[in-house]
Amino acid sequence: MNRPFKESLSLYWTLQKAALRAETGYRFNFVLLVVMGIVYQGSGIAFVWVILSQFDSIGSWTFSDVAFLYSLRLLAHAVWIVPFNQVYALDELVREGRFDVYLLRPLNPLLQVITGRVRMNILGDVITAVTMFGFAVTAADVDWTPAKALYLVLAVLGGAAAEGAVVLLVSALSFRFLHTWSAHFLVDNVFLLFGSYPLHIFGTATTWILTWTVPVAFVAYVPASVLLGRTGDLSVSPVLAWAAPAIGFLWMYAAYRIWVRQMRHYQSTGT
Amino acid sequence: MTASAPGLRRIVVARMKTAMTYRQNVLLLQVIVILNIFILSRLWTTLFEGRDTVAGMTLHTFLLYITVVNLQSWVFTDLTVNEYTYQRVRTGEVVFDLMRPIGFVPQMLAHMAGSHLFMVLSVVVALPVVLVVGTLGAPASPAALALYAPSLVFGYVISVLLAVLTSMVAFWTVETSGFTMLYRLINQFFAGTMLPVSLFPEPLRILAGLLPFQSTGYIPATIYVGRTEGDAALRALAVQGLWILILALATTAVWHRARRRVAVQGG
Repeated sequence: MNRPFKESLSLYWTLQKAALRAETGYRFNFVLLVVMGIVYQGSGIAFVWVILSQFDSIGSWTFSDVAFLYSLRLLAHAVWIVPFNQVYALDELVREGRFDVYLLRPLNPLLQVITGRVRMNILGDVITAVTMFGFAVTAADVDWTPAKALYLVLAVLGGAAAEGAVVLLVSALSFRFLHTWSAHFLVDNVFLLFGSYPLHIFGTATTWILTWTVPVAFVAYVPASVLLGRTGDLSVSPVLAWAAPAIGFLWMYAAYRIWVRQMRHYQSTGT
Repeated sequence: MTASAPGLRRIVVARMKTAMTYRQNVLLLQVIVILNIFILSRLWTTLFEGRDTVAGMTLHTFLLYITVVNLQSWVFTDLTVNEYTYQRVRTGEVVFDLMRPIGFVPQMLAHMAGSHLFMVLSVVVALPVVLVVGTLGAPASPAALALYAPSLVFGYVISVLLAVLTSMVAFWTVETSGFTMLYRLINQFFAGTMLPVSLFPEPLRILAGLLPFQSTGYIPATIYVGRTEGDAALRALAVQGLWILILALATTAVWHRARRRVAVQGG
C-alpha cells in the first residue's frame, strides 16, 4: 500500500507489457476485437451523420459541433479505458476468490486489478477516438487560444476521471454483490447514449439528473459547449463550465475513497 | 416429432427459470431499451421542429414507429442462444446435446422460445414505463392490425432463423463474442430501430433492401402504424416469406456442415 508512486508506476509498465504479450498470442481474435471496437464506437457518429445529412441541426448544434462533442467523449473514454479496463472484471476476481492474492502482495490492490490483463478491443476505441478527434477538431468552429488548448487537455483528463469514477463505484459493488456486469453495461450505455448528444435536447429534468447525479454532462457536453462558445445553452453557469475538469477529479477522488472502503466487505470463497 | 415434445417443453421451462433467476440482468437490459426509446423520442421530437411530416409520417406516427420497432427488436435480438451454443461448442458439451433423441436445432429453438417468452413477459411488465417515455397506441386501422399479425410472425421466424444461423459460427471459430456484438449492431441498425429505412441515404437504403433485417423490424412496424398498407403491405409480406424460404434452406445447409465439424473435432 505504501510503496512509492514511482516504483508502482514502473511495476505497472512491467505488468502491462506481460499482459499485452499474452493477448497478442491470439492474432485473429486480436484483430477481430480491434475492428469490433472501431465499428462499435464509430456507429454512433454514423447515425448522427445519417440524420444530419437530411436535417440541418440537432437542438441548434450542427454536424461539426456534434462530431466535436462525440469525439471529445470518445477521447475521454479512451483515456480512462486504456489504463483501467480491468476494473470491469473485478466481479469475476472476487467471485473466484482470486482477489486474495492481491491483498497479500505488498502493492496497491487496485493497481494489481488493472494490470491483470489487457483487453485488446480497447485499441479499437483508441484508434477511433484519435482519428475522429483529428477530423472533428479541424472541422469545429473553435477560436483556439492557449487557455482553450490547456482547458481541452484538462477537460479530456477530467472527463476520463468523471466516467472512470462512476465505473469504479459500480465495480466496488463487486465486493458485496458478486455479479456486476449488467450494472456496468447499463452505466456504459448511459454514458454512450446520452453523452453523444447535446444534452439540452432531452429537457431540463434529464439534463439536471445527468449533471448532478451522474456526471455525464462533465465528460464532454459542458467542455464542448465552452470550447464551441455555446455556454448560452447550458444550465450551469459559465464559471462552473470552465471548472468542469475539477468536478471530474473530485468525483474520481471520492470514488477511489469509497472503493477502498468497500474493499473491507470482501469475503473470500473459503476454498 | 410428437415423442420429443415433452423434452422440448422442459427445455423451454428450464430456460424461462434460468432467465427468472437472473432477472436483474433482464431488468437492466430492459432499462437500456427504455433509455433508447426515450433518447430516440426526444431526438426525433427535436428534429421535427418546424416540420409537419418526416418520411411521410406525422410526429405521433413517427414516435409510435420508433417505440414499436424497438420493443420488437428487444425480443428479437436476444443473444441467449448464441451464448449458449458458443459455451456448449467451446467446452465440447455439445456432444451430449447431439446424442439426445431430439435434434440439436430443435433444442436451440426451444431455448430461444423459453428466453423469448420471458422477454415478452418483461415487455408487458415494462409497458407502463414505455408509455411515459415513448409513444404507445393502437394499430392505424383494423386492416393494419390484420396485416401486422402475420408480418410480425414472419419477422419473428426470420429473426429466429438468423439467430440459429449466426449461432453456428461457434462451430468454426473459437471466440464469438466480437462477432455476435457486431452482428447485433448491424442487425438493429438495418432493422430500422434508430430511424426508418426510408430515411437512409441512397446507398444504405439499397443495401438495407438486400438484407433480411428490415423484414424483422421496419416492415412489421410500418404496417402497424399504417405507413405501409394495401398492395405495398402484401408485397412486403411476400418478401418476408421469401426470406423465410432462403434462410431455412441456408440453415439446413450450414447445419449439415456444422455437424461434420463436430465429428472432425473428435468430441
